[in-house]
Amino acid sequence: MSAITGDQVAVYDRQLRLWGVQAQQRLLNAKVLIWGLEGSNVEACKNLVLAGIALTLRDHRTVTAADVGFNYFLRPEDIGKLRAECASKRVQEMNPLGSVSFSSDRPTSDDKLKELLKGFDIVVVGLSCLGFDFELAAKMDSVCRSLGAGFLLTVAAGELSFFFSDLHEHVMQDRSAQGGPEAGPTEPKAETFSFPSFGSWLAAVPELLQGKSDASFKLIGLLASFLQKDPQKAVPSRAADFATHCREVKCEPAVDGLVGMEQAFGHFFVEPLIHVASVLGGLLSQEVIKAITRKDPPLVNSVCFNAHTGAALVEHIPPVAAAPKKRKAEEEVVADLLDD
Amino acid sequence: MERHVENNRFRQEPVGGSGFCTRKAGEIGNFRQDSLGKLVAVGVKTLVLQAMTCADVTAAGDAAVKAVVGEERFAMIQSAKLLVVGAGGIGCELLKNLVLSGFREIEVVDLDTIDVSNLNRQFLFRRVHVDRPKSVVAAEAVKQFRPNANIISHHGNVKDPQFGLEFIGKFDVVVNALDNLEARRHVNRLCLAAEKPLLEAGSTGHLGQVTVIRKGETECFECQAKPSQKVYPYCTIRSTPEKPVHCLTWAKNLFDLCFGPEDESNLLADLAAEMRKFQAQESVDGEDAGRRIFAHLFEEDIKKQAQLEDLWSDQRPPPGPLCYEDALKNTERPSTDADKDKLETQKVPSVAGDAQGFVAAVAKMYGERRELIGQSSFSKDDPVAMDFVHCAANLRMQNYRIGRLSRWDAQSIAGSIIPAVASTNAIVAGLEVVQLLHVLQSVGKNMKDSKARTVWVRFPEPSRKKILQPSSLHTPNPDCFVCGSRTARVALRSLEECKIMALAKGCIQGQLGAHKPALYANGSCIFDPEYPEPGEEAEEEGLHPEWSLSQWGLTSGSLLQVEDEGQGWSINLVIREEPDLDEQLYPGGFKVEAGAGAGEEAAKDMAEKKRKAEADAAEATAAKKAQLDANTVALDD
Repeated sequence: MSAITGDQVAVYDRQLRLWGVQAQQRLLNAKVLIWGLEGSNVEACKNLVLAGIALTLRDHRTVTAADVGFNYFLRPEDIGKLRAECASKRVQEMNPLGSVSFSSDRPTSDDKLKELLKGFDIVVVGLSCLGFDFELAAKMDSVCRSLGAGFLLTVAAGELSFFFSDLHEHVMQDRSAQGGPEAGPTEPKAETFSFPSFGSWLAAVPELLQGKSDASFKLIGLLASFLQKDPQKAVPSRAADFATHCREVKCEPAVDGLVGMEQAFGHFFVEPLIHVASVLGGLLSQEVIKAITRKDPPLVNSVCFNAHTGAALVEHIPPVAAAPKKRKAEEEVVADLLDD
Repeated sequence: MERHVENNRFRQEPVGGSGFCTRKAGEIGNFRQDSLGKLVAVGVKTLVLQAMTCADVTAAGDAAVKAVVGEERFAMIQSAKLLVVGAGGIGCELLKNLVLSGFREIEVVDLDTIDVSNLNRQFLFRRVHVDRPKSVVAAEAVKQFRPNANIISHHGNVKDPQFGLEFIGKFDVVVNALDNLEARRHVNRLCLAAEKPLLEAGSTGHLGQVTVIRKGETECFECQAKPSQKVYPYCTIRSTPEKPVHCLTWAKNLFDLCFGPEDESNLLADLAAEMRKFQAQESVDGEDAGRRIFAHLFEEDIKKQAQLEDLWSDQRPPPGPLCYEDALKNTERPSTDADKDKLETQKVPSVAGDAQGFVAAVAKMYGERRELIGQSSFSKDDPVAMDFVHCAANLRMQNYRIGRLSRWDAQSIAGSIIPAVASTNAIVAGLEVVQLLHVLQSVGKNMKDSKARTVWVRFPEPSRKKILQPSSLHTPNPDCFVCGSRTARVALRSLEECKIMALAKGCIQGQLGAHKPALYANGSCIFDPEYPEPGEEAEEEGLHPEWSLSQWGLTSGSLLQVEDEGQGWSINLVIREEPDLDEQLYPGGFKVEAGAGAGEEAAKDMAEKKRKAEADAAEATAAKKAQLDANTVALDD
């Protein structure tokens, strides 16, 4: 590990005071791939390059007026050019101390896919860039597992925004200090977190649709079950078919703010509201940073933000028969104390 | 079309080096200035094309938002007039979110200029922008995202009279993106007085929260007590420090005393005569001055302190004097295993290093900073001032056997630095827009019946599965001294000794959050903020800021009326004399007994009880815990 320079200390001062030198060094040595410049991933580019992480931006698509209207790393003169290339310049400008590269490659074969995922610590993928191919996403996750890279997948629908995270067997080494320099150091306590694969997430969709999860997760599950084996159906014109599918599988979740399943379906194909991306991109970036720094417990494994309720929920999918954890017990004790 | 183009293109100022210019600075060459001072396009045709692309982008962006929010809400977005207060960590994210959501009428106020340490999160700023006003650069940058947005920037303090009630009255909603309690309290009062909804937000490290305030319908920012800045008893600072922070407070006062304007309220004012000896001389050998100040402060003064036998016991041994020569011999550096991962500035220097650093800082002040002596004040970002304060505090810690600090930690404490990172601010600013949309939809309805919520940003673990946790808005606290009863009781140690100007500054501004309070007793004005200091002008108005409360005829039980015209806020204070008021707990000689500052603990108890009665059990518990985590008030610059 190379030492942090004076220039880096000056720029990263406020975050060094949050997560410390060792964590910052890990961030400076990490390589993250953002595959798909869309939705929350755009926000993640900003947060992660500012944190000092080396980014590779990958997207095979060209820039449209709608992209420029949402993605503030693009400009009107970029229309018709490659998204990743155009955005990378301006992502880089935000942090000249960081490193940003780009690629427009597509996975034409399994070998190619492996090659495209090699060399990264974390891979963040947007579902839209994969043509809504959930099976491809599951394949990418399993390649990431074999390469030892973390995998995160983002999906957005207007005022809803979702990510899935797979850090395999993640060992957290330490927690952030509470209370600043006067509080003194705390004893690091390692803890292991086991993540299910995206394949098992997909396999659990039928269970998810009939289970007790929040409606916002069910909507993502419905999209997966509707598109299963046929990602070609991922076009706005198939909204009525989607609604039919929802009736057939007897799952029509009442998501706050959505009138019906047809309307909900349409939202998957436009960029989310920027502030929704801002919120989810922030949460997603925190997970990437936790994964790299091995500091603080990660969220296992699905997170959904709903702008109508203002809540962001965390679910373990497939659900686990939870053996009550010690930490949870402590939390309850604190809660009880506060009630008195 | 061409007219439209002119309006759009010419309103933009060139932004040097910004990543977001749709037009490079060099392209200003396309324009020439005509005799009327109006810019005229030379290459009109290319500009029209560019502008059409801009219009396409705006239309496409707007269409995507409209597809999600619907026509009705989008119309509200387009017509809403917003005031954004703050263009820092939260402000940059907020402006980006607002502009890309389709908001078009925005004014932004910020008094700050850009610092290098902002660049890790305030993503609208670049190195070339350092020292430029945040509000101006942020507005220029986001205008590039949507050239049709009308963004007006103000480089100024929101407490200035130009941003008073009349100004606030122009807007539909005020959105805070502030980093300090004082300004947040001020904007809270402005919005209550102008009856404008206010979105409140704060972040510190990984934690944050967002809430909505509307007069009469929700709690205001001050319905629950906020932690006020800690004031240490005079004696602790001057004679019996126990913690590093006491020594750092002493050292900051020392810096201002040595190099700042005369200030009789300085805690070390009794040392002034000694310190100013050096200043009076025509030319000063900085090194020599440094060593003489060293000898005075860390050796002679400490010897005197050690002789005050009443202060010392077995539990609290007297301090040990330190002479410069001995200090130089002490070159041992405390080191631990953890040091290998640390930056040089995070390691604790030797006593010799502190001694040399102190003398060098004084020498620099008398050398290259000579012109600024008498007008400097401590800033954590000024390396010489920070070296001085770090070394002086460490030497004092050595005197008092307190573990010395690294420069890094000293800067954190002395500068009250709040750790900050882009992701938290992005979350908080996103949640503010979520609540803003609910507020716009609640026109004509009670806010409590809307979708608007307080939302807590939890970290690292979710609370009952929620990593962002909404809780219901609370009804106003009827006892609130700002939006409720507007009464408070103030206990004073001595009406005889307390000057009216000290009461106005320490209690009414410092604790009750007034900006420019006027005080009335028995219907006549006894303190006017226009004449805060004694002098001929004040006397002509019949005012005597230096008079004590008893000189003004106030007795225990008297009523004092306070009015802050700028804030549109007033309060009745009942004055009570309490000779036994604890000096350690209330070093200012007064204690506020209702509303905020009523002793934080008591107020917290009250707030907790009220909260419990109102909210359902689960949410209340979670929110309370979140509140403890975030300490209610989270800050970021």
